[in-house]
Amino acid sequence: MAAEPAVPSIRDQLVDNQKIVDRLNAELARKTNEVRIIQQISSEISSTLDLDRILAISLDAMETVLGFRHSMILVAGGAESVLTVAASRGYDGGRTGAEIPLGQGVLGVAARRRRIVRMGNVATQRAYLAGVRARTQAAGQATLEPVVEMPGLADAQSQLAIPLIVKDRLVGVLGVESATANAFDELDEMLLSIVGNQVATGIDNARMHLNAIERSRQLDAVNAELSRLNETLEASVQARTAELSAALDQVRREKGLSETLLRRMAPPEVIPLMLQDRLLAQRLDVAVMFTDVVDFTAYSSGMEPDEVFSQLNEFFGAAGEIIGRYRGYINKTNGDGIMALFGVPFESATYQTDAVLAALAIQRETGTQFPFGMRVGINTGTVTAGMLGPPDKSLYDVIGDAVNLASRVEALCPRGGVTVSPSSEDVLKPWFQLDKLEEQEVKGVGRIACLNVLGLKAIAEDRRRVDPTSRFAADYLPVIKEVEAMKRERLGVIDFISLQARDLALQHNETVASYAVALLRMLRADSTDAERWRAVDEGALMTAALLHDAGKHVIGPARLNDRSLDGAGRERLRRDLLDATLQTLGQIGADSSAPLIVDLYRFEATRGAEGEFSSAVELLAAADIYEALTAPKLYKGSPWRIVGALAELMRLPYCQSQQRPVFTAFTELMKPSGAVIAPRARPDVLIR
Amino acid sequence: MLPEEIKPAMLGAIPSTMVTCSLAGVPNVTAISQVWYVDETHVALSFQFFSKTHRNVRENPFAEVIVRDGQNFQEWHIEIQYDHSEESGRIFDAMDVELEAIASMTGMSGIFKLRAADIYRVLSVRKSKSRG
Repeated sequence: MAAEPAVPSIRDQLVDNQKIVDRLNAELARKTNEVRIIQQISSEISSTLDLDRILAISLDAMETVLGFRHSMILVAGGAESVLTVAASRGYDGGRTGAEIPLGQGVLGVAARRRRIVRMGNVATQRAYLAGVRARTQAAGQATLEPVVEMPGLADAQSQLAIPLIVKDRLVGVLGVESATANAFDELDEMLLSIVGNQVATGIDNARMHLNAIERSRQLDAVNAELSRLNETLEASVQARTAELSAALDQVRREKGLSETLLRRMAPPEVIPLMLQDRLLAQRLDVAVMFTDVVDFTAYSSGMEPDEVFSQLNEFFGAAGEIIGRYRGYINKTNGDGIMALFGVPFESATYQTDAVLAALAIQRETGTQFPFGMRVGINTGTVTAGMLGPPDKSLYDVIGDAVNLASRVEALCPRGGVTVSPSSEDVLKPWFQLDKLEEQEVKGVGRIACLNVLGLKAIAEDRRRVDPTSRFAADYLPVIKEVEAMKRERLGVIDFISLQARDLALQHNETVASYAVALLRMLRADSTDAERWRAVDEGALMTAALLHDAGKHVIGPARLNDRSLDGAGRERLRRDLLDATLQTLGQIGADSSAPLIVDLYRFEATRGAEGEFSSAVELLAAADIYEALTAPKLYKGSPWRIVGALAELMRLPYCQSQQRPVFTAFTELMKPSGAVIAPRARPDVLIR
Repeated sequence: MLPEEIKPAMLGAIPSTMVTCSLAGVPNVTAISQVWYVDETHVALSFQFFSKTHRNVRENPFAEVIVRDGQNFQEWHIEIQYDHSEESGRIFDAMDVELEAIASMTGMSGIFKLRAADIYRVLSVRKSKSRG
C-alpha cells in the first residue's frame, strides 16, 4: 500500500512553478503594456495647454487602454472647498458640472486628506452605516447631516480616488469606480497615481496658461484705461496750458507796457538798476548829438496839426532806429529836434565813430524828407550821467559843458551836413573825410574850428593801406569803383555800413575785394600761366570777399573786440563767426560763396600750415590778411607799415613751405615802388 | 498564519461577525463592518463607540471573528486576542480615511469617528465547514 507522499512530487512542483512563472509573466506583460501607454498619455498631456483636451485624453486612455469604464476628473475651485466634475466617462449624459463638497465621499476625502483612497466595499459600508443612521435617528440620539448624493454610480462598490497635487496645491481629484466589489487592486492604484500625476501637472499648466491669458487681458484693460486717462490728462493739461499761456501773454503784455514806459525814462540796460534804486550817477566819456530840421516851423505852418505830428513821429521812429543801430540812446526830443547820446549808460570804446556813422545815416536816410534839410552836430566830452528830476518824474539824463557845446556845434552845421567839434578829430581822421571849417566864436567856449564830415574815407586816399607809388595805386584804383558798383548791383539789399560799423573794420570787405580782384587781373596780365588765372571766377571772388565776414553782425561787437580771449576762445570765436557767416549767406541766397569762404577760414585758422588751397582761396587770403594788418585800428595797436605787413605775409607757414606765386605777386602789387620785400625765410641759412 | 487566500474576505464586502465574552462569562455576538488585514499574525478592528464588545474585550481579550469572502462566500473563523490600540499610523489612517469617506456619504461624519484601531493577535484561523 503506497503511502501518501509526504512532500509534493517533483512533477507537481514543476507544474506549480510553471503556474507562478506564467502568472508573473502575465503580470509583467500587463505592466509593460500599461507603462508604455502611460508614457504615451503623459507625452500627449504635456504637449497641450488646453485643459479640456488634457482631460479628454486622460479619460479616453483610462477607458480604452486601462479598462476603467467609469471615471471622472474633478477640479478644485479657487477656495478648494468644492470639487467640480470637469470631465467624466461611462455615465449616461455625463456628469460634467456636478459638485462634491470637499471631504465628502471617497473622492472628497481623498481630496481633503490629499491621499489615495481605494475601497472595494463602498455600497456595503454605506448600507451598513445607513442602518446605523436609521437606528440613531430612531433613538433621536444626534442631529444628523443630510445624506449627500454623489455624482457617480449609485451602487458603486469599488472606488479609487487619486488626489491631484502640484507643489503642495490640490488641483483636483481623479476617480474611477465600479459596481463590482474589490474591483481595483494595488497595481491599479499605482497606475492611476502615475496618470494622476500627469493629469495634475497638465491641469496646473493649463490653468497657469489661462491665468496668464487672463492676466494679459487684465493688463490690456488696465493699459487701455491708462491710455484713456492719459488722453484725458493730456486734454486737461492742454486746457491748463492754454490758460497759463493766456495768463503769461497777459503778463507779457503788461510787462511790455511797463517796459515801454520805463524805456521812456532810461536806456533799457540800466532799468533793472534803476528799479532797485542802485543806479548811481557817474562820469562817462560820451558823444552828444543834436539834430534839427531846418526851418521846420516855417515849413509846417501850412500843414494840419495831425499831419505835422504824423510826419515828425515818422522821422523820430526812423532816426531812433538808426541811432539804436549804432548803439546810441535818444535822450530826449525837443520839438523837431533830437538829443542823442553815444557811450551811455556804460563806457563804450566806439562812441565817437558810432555817433558820426549814425549822423551820416540819419542825413542819408531821413534828411531828404524835409525840404530844407537837417543839421547834425556832435561833440564829445566828459559828462555826468544819472537819473535826474523830481522823484516822480526823473529821467536818465546827462549834464556837462559837452552837452551845451554839442548844441552850439549843431547850430554851426551847414544844412544836410554833419559837423563835429575838434575834440574827436584825431579819432575820426583815419576813417572819415573831414573838412575843417573856419574858426568861429562859440559862446562860453571861445574860438574853435569845427569839422564837417564829408563821408567815409576812400581806400585810395588812405596812405597807410595803399602806397601811392605801388602798382595798385598806379593801375588798379578803378577796381575800387567796380567793386562798389558790383556791391550795389548784386548785394544791394545788404547794409554793409551797419555790418562793418559793428567791428570798426571800415570798408574792410570792399578793400579785400578790391585787392583780390586787382591781384587776379595783374596775374592774368603778367603771368605766363594765364590759363590758371582765367579759371578763377572774378565775380565769385568778389562776392566771397564782400561777404566773408557777414556773420559779424550776429556775433556782436563786444565779443569781436574782446581782447581777453585766449587761443581756445579765439578759435571758438572764429568757428562761431564762420557759422554765423554761412547762416547769413543762406539768408541772403548767396550759398554759392560758402565753399570758398569755408576754405578761407581754414587757411587763416592754420595760417596755411596744413594742406594746399585753390588759387581763389590764396587770392582771398593774401588780400584779407594784408588788409587786416594795415587797416586802421583803434584797439589793436598801430597798423603795420605796408612793407612790414607784406613781409609778415611772406612769413606765413604757407609761403615758407614752397614758392607761392599768388603771395609773391601780391607783394609786387602793393609794395612801394623800389621797396624790397624780404623773400621767404631760408631755414637752411640758419643751420649753416 | 493568515493565508493569502483569506484576504478577499477581509475587504468588508460582507459584514463580519464578532464574538466576545465578558469577564463573568456572558457571551456577546455582534456584526461589525470590517476586519482589517494587518499582517499574517495581526488583524485590526475599528473602535468607534463604547459598546458591549469594546467593554468585553477590555475585560477579556480573547474573541473570535467570522469573516466572509464576497466572491465565493467562504467563511473563515479567526481566534484573536486583543493586543493594543493605535490612534495614529498607517493602519489607523487607512481605516480612518475609509470610515470618513463612508460616513460623509451617509451624513454621519460627526458621529462615525475612528477613535482607535484596535490591534489583535491572531491565535488560530480555520475555514468554516459549511459555506454560509
